[in-house]
Amino acid sequence: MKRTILHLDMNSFFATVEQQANPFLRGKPVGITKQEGRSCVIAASMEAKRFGVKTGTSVWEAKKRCPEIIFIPSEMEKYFSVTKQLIEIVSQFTPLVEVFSIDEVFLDVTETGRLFGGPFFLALKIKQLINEKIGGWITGSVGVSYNKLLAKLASEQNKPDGYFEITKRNRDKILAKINLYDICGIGWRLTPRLLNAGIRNLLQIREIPDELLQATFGPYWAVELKRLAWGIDQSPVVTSTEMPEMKSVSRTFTLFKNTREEREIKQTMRNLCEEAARKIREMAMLTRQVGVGIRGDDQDASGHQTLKYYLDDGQEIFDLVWQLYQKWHWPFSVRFIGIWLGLLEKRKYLTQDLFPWKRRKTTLLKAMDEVNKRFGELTVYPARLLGGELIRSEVNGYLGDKKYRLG
Amino acid sequence: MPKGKVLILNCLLTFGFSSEKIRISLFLSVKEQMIEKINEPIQVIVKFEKGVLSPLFFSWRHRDYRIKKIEFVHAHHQGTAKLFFFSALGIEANYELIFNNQNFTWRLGKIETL
Repeated sequence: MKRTILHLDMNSFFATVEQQANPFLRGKPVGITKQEGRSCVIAASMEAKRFGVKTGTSVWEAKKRCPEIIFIPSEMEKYFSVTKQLIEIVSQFTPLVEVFSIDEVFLDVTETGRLFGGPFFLALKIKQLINEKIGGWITGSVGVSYNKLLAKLASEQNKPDGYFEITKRNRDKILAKINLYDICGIGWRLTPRLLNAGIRNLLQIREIPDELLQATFGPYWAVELKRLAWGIDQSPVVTSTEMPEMKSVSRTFTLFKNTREEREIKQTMRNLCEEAARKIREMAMLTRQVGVGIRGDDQDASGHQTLKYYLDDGQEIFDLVWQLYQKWHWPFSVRFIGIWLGLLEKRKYLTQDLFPWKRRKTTLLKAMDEVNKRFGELTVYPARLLGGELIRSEVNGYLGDKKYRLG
Repeated sequence: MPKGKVLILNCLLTFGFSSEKIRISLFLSVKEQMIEKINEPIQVIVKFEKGVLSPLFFSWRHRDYRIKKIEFVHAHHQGTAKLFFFSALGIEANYELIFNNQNFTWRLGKIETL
């Protein structure tokens, strides 16, 4: 049976939410930065985009291109709250909703589309509801096709606030004109390789013999590229409840300035470890792989340690992270710190703690989590964080932890 | 505060402008100050209709403010409390009003203007 997939992509999402919330920003070029004092634009309004300001543009460059630009620090909770409202709206039309990122959702309306007069009228109804329930300034573009790959490409065709359908009839015309960078799955790393090989669009890939593709891009990409070139995508729309359990948890943080101060590095690492540990405890999971990565002075290093036992205590995780860091004898300053916990396993599949001190620790952590759950994050926090700026958990735009947030 | 602004402030006070209007006019002269974080308790008159909560007036620092329109509402949890953030367009500025559903208190989060 031919599927009907709808992709809703919100236009300049963070910026339009800010413009919805503050009418004084409407019609003006707005650049969203991570926090006050950050040097990079993470999202731009449509008005700012006209001046060439886009995600990743430095604040300095954005000001140069558009002196009138207004910088607003991001409020990820605010944007995620709108995402949740969007999910509520689109769930009225089908139970098969996949939250792809903070501003993108896929809907499988194969079975339910006709109840609303087909995908066009369904899209119209969604847009009306967004207008009524969230606000008229927030708009989205809808793409419709018979698979997710093409539906996503379709939503790119008519922006902002548009509607576009890719059928078997117009598919090749669209695939021929789409920029390789814009194709989900190809990415920034593969595109230069394709361009170097003289490949400018997907249709050209169809003509290349499989053997030659394999020799140039390897066996995996040879198959993948052929699939993309024909616009084939059998992947289903995966709802939040169907999503697989998280295999890892990570948290990164960029400091406001480079630092060599051990106390600051320690505090930041401890803070990130605490957040990641709390997250796995909330998911009733434990880890046996701890990793850390740092960057500074154009240098980077990363490493991990795999254990024979499982843990979920932020202090124990931090001790391992600190050991790894100390091994490097890092001579440079630090600007970026990332930690990750891998090989996660559900607590219910593991044996109970054997030693009384370990059980006491588990009880203590449970009590701490309950206090924080009731009164808010970091109401109780490790003493090492005293005197420093507390880093709180936040939603990221890719929504890499959607199983945790929505599942 | 720069000397020029103090002078303007004195002139405005002399001619009987309200303190809010003066503050707004100071906002207008300095673009970077378009968002002012307040986070102070306020008193609010609210309409409950068809399951929707709409603030109509609020009182802050002994002065009343009329809300023309609620532009946007979002909510998130702080512990077990749910905080509702209302972007309320007033006569001269946009106000963020925060309602805590656990202790039924209202706060003025910030004032935004250009």
